[in-house]
Amino acid sequence: VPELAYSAHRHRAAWKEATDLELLVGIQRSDEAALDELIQRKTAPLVQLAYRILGDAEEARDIVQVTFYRLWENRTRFDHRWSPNTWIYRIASNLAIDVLRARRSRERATEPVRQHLRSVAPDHGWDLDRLGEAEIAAIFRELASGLSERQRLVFLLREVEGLPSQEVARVVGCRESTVRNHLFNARKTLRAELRRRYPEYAGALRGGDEP
Amino acid sequence: MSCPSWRALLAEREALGEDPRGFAEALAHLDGCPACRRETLALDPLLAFRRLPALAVSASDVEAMRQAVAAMRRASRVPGEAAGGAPLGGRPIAGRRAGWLPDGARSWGRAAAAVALLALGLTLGPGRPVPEPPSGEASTPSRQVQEALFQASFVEDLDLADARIYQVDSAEMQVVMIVHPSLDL
Repeated sequence: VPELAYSAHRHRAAWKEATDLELLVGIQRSDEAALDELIQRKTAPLVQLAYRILGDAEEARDIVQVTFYRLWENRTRFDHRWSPNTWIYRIASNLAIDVLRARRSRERATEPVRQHLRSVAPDHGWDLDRLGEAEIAAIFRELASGLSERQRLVFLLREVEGLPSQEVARVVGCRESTVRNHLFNARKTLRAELRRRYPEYAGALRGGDEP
Repeated sequence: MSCPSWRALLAEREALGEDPRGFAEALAHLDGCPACRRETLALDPLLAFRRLPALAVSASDVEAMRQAVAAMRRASRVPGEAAGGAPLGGRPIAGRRAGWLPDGARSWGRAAAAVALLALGLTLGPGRPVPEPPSGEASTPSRQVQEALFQASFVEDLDLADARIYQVDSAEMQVVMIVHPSLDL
């Protein structure tokens, strides 16, 4: 019986123990098993991010598919000083923003959302905490139509994904002070839009911008 | 953790433009305390967006993603073969919907041809110089096997996750055998 010299199955299994950085180093060496393991780990968080930016599950999955493809095609350009997450999030968020820009006008028709929320109001008593996730998402999509793409991305990365400002700056490709600026303006716009469109949910904001 | 002073925490956060010390712990407390949630949402309704819904991603979704990405990479290596020669360009949306998943019969034929060519190439002995193979961190195939696989670049198109590769060395001949159920002739 000849000696078993190499097993693709064993090779793939070994990558499961690797760190994200080790996976990217493997990908730089054109190891497809490393890419498969990265897809295994990162598909869910990337789909979540793209979905929150775009609000469309199918588009989110397409964005993530292209993200992995671009990551492979540009694998030699990965800088080891970066966190792997930063690099991958950057590719995905840039793609999502491109799609968002292309279909911006579709987000204008939000009147049905408002009517639906008003119709369910007696059940939840104008209490944001008792609203379902779908209603929260609908409100966000409507209010966020007043944000620039960058503001929306910074708000989601910082406030929803919980990334620190430093990492958000790397993902977005700007300085930390610019991130703070985007975040400040995003919050201000969202609060103003909430007061204007949903005063019943605006709570303590009725008197001004500050919480 | 007892209920924090949300008014002070949120005012400090607003002034700093950053999360103040202890804010992460306060948020963890918030998720399990209805009274604090009511208070914070009254102070800052934008905190409700922390509950933006997550999309369920199943194991089959991940496998579909892996196959779709593999298909895009294959298509980009074979100009004109993918989707009637449609350019990829890394554009979103096009990939999965265009149906670039590999054709089973074609893969099978390519696999059989790959084995035959690989065995033939190796029995003829060393030929032209081969590029430096990637250093294997996760497994340790012999240099001979790595060179053979690297030289026969079509092998990567096989995409046989469970393939086993055997090596037989002799003074005059080196043979590499790829074993996989799909190659059973």
